[in-house]
Amino acid sequence: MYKKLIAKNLDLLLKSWLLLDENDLIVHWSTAAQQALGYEPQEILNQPFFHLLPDYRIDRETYLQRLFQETPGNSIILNRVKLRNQNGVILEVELSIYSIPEEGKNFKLIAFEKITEIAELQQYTNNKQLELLDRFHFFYDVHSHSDHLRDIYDAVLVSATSGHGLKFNRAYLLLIDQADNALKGIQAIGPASKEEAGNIYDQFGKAPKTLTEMIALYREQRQHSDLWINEMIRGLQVGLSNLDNIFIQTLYQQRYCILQQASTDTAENHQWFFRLFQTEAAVLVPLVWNGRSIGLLIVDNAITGNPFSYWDINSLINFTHAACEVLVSMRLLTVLEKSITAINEANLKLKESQQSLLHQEKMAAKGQLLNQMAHEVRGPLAVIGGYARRVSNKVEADFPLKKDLERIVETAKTLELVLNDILDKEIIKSSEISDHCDAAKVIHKVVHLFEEEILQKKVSVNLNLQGNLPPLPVPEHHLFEILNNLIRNALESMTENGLLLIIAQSSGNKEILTIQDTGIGIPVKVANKLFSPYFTTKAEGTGLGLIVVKKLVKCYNGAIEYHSIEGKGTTFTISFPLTQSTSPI
Amino acid sequence: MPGNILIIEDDDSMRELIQMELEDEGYHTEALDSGFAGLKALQNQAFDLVVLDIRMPGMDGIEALERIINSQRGLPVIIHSAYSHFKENYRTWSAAAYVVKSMDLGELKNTIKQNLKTTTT
Repeated sequence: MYKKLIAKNLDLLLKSWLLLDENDLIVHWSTAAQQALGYEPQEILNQPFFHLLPDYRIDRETYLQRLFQETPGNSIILNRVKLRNQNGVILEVELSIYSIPEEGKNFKLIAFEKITEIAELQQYTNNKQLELLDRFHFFYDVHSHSDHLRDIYDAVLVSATSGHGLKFNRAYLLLIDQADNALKGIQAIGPASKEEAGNIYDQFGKAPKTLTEMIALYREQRQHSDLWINEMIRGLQVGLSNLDNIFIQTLYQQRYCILQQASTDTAENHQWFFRLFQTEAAVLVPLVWNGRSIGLLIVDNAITGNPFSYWDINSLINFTHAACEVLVSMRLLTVLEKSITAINEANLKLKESQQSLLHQEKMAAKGQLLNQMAHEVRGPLAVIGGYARRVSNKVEADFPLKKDLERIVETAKTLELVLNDILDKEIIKSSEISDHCDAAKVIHKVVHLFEEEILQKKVSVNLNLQGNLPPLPVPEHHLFEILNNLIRNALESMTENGLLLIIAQSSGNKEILTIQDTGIGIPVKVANKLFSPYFTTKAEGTGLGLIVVKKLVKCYNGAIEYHSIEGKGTTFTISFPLTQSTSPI
Repeated sequence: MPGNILIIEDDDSMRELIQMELEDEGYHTEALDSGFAGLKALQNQAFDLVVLDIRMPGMDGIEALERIINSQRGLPVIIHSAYSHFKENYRTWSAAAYVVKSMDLGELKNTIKQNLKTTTT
């Protein structure tokens, strides 16, 4: 009796299944299982289950027994089990085994699905989804819609609810958002309750208005009414892949749908809807444009409880066609408007930068010319003024031309001041380079520069750079010059397999950079000549490297120290104050 | 303790002006119009300090500076130029000082005085 009942109803739940008795003999199977395995009923019924396992499985006779020994509980799901069909073909299946105790005997229910079929099904569903997604027209970023668009939404919703329009109690607009692949609530209109409805209808209903006036009036009222339903709808978001959701179903099917709590068909699954929207019935109309769904319009008569007549729905559908056109064109217009604005802005910027470039070039050329001229004038002026000064100093105070000489001196002096002024300004202008740099960045740059040599000499480079070093008040090209010289010296002092350690750290108001090598070191006898110009121990050195380093370090009020042990290595430590005024080179 | 100063300057007027002014201060001077002449003089004579122009035909002051320092380490060289931007050329940094030309030779004189003091003490 039990077996028959199971056999009768199992097909509803499972496709391919087999029922085994307490001896693991097959006593029932489904049509789907028969089709999948290809055996005739007489070939399989009352045969042990292991006949279905491949021959090569030596443990096949004890397979089921062992499974239940190893796995506690009454059910086992196995991912990839091989079964043999009538033709000897091995199928890969997902196998579920349930042990069913009855009157002290253990029956087993075995259900299986061909994995190849599962994969196919999956692919089919995916394709279907893609196909369906293609039916949507996407609105981008629905929550940043312009005021312009909001007005259009209002107009659509007011039309759906006003006495001049479709006379539904409440209306909700939802649109598809591309970015989130979801349907999102946008705007709603209508009273939350009967009491509120009374107030609104009093205001709206007394004087008959045109639709335009109605929209204007609604806009004035917006702050006070509709609060609840608007909040609710704006918080609503349904993923497009959520195919169980009635909204998404409506979008896919592109057909309107009536939800009624009283109807047994729909009530069960859509309780959430009636609860959320606080209504007993509603019409869901997909907004379709050019064969693609763009969103959903939901209307209800929650306040009056009026039923939806065929005519109501028909005119609503006609209305949504028009609304779609408006929504899409407005959306396109907005996008177009945005693009045009963006293009205009880009154009303007381009023109500005062109002009500024031209201006800069002109100024640079002018500056250069002025600079050159000023310098050329400075020499001769020094001669004129210098001689006048000399003569003026030499003559007695009562010399008849003394005043005239002084006049030359004064004028030349003024001219020299003017020249200095111009030249100083030009120098400032030409130094548009930032006066701060990131020491870690510069260290990386310099080390990168010597990459080849580092590889060649098999030098291990150890960079110990403190994170978030404060910006160093030294222009990048100057720190680069300093590090370039010190790191080059370090590398040149080392033979193979040396170690180069670079440390950058800040401590108090100072940033300290350390460059340590395991090179030949500085011989004591040359230590005092280390910073003298053109002194070098290298075959191809200029002897200026350390001069440059010292001068630059000094220029930014820094300090340089070194410590060297002959044959062991050298450590250079430079430190810069983090806040400082630079002294000129 | 006035010293012996070598002036290398191609502009005749400027050279003579510097020479006269420095001699007024009591220095012995030798004034020459090119880097070559200056280097030659340095081989034959002992100087305490050199005043060197940069923009000169033939060998410019920067090259002359390098050669002077290489041949006579420790001899202070003061660069005296109408151009302030050579200050940014690090090859001039090995000079003892850099003075921009001016009708007022006060700065040059002071710098000479300082450098002679530091080398003699």
